[in-house]
Amino acid sequence: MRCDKCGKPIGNHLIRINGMTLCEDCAREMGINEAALASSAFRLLDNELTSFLPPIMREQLEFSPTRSQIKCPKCGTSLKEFETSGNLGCIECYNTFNEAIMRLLMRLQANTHYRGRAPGILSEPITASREMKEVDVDEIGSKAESEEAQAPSHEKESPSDENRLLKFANADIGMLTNQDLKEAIRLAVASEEYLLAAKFRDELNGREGE
Amino acid sequence: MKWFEQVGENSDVILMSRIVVRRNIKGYPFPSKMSETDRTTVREMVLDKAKQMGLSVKVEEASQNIPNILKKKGGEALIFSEDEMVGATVNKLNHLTFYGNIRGSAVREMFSRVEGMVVDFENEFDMAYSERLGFLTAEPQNVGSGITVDIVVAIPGIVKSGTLPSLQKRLAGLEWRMRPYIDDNKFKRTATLFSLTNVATLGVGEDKIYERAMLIINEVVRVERMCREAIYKKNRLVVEDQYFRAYGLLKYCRRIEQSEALEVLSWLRFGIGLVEDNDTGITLETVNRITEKICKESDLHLHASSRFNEQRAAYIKEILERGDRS
Repeated sequence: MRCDKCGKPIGNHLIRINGMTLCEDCAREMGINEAALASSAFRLLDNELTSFLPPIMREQLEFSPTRSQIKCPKCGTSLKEFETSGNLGCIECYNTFNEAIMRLLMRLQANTHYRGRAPGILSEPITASREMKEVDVDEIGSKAESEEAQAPSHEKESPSDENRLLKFANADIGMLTNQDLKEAIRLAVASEEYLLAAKFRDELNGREGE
Repeated sequence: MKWFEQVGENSDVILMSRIVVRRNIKGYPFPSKMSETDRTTVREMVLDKAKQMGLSVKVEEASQNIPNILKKKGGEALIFSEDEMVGATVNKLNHLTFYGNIRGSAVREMFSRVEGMVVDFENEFDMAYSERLGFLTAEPQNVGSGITVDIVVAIPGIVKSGTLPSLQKRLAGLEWRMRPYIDDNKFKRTATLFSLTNVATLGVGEDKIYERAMLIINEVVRVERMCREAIYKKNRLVVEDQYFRAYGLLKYCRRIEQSEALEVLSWLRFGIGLVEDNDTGITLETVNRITEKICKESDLHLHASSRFNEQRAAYIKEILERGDRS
């Protein structure tokens, strides 16, 4: 290994400061004193280094020990407490630990935006039974088939295509046939809805794997 | 009639359906960080509203004279409807945890009853809510709608026909998860009771959660029945043999392990309605009652004790005899 500053090979005294690897001489040049060089690298980072770094760099040096000391200003829950129990203390915690919560939600739910009802309003009446769903999907299927029979499949996008894509997007993905899915991918790509296209593609690939 | 005394719809496959909805009131920390006075204030507010709505109320006071570590915090309460089908716990993990329970699969009524109650409370209190994350809960994994739907299914047909992986895949596609209802790995038996739960509470609306629950119920019931019939058609003698053996074992045993009892029950469930010349007289309801009782043992940590095997055999016999008479 070579020194990042002077390029000379480093002997048995290697010093890492904020991502830079230095040799003993260069470190001394940068103002690190003899006692610090002799002590362990960790103590060096903790005590000596922060004393000569500019304040901005000092902030960057905040490692995990300090991070887990973050506390909610309102209820006093610490990040460590949240990480061990999995429970939050108050509404303010959602702001304080925003980053950790978002990471958790992305991992568990792959989503970070709410799409449900607002407080105090009933959601839409539960009428959609499976039977209705089946009819709905059958309609899509037959429509897609009949339209495919009439028009060649590589036609320019028309308003009806948009409607059909919308229907595919709203339908329960598991109920679509493979042919429906292929059609849906084509429509989604044509209207540049790549996320939707990827969703259909993943479903199709999953089925082929079965 | 209480909800647990009713005979459920599709109870050959669906044992029980549950819904939990979590809500917190703005201006108070979550129960784990609440002061004693806050707990009492919130409880009284909630109980007043519950009484107005004609719900029954049960207050749980802080327990006295027991070691600190076991001591329950004060200010907890339970509210519930007359048939005990819907209700809510106050100041447990969240300020309000609404629930609905039903035997079998008639979830539509339960969903709308629970939601009606939740909306009533939302109109009364200012709930912790953000435009982006929805309803804020003490456990961030439930933030959003705060809804968990849990369906307990008995699917011996799907398990024995090897269709389980594709069901799992299908559930994962709908953002649902399945896990054994009772952890009986210890005995290396194949589980046939599963609990199906929704994972997503964010990014899906309430109507979608309900709709998917119903879709899953219908699909599991349909596939399970198909599997049972197919297996019966193919291996008639084996199924009949297992069915009658299971009945005999259950009726005449004097000691029985939890896992053995569950396996035997799954064969009974499999055979009822399929097996011809069935003179056992055992009904699905009896089978489900025994199953429920055995499942409850796990909550009480009785299942592991070998001394309990005799008691288990005794109560099974009792329920069977009661069922036979009626």
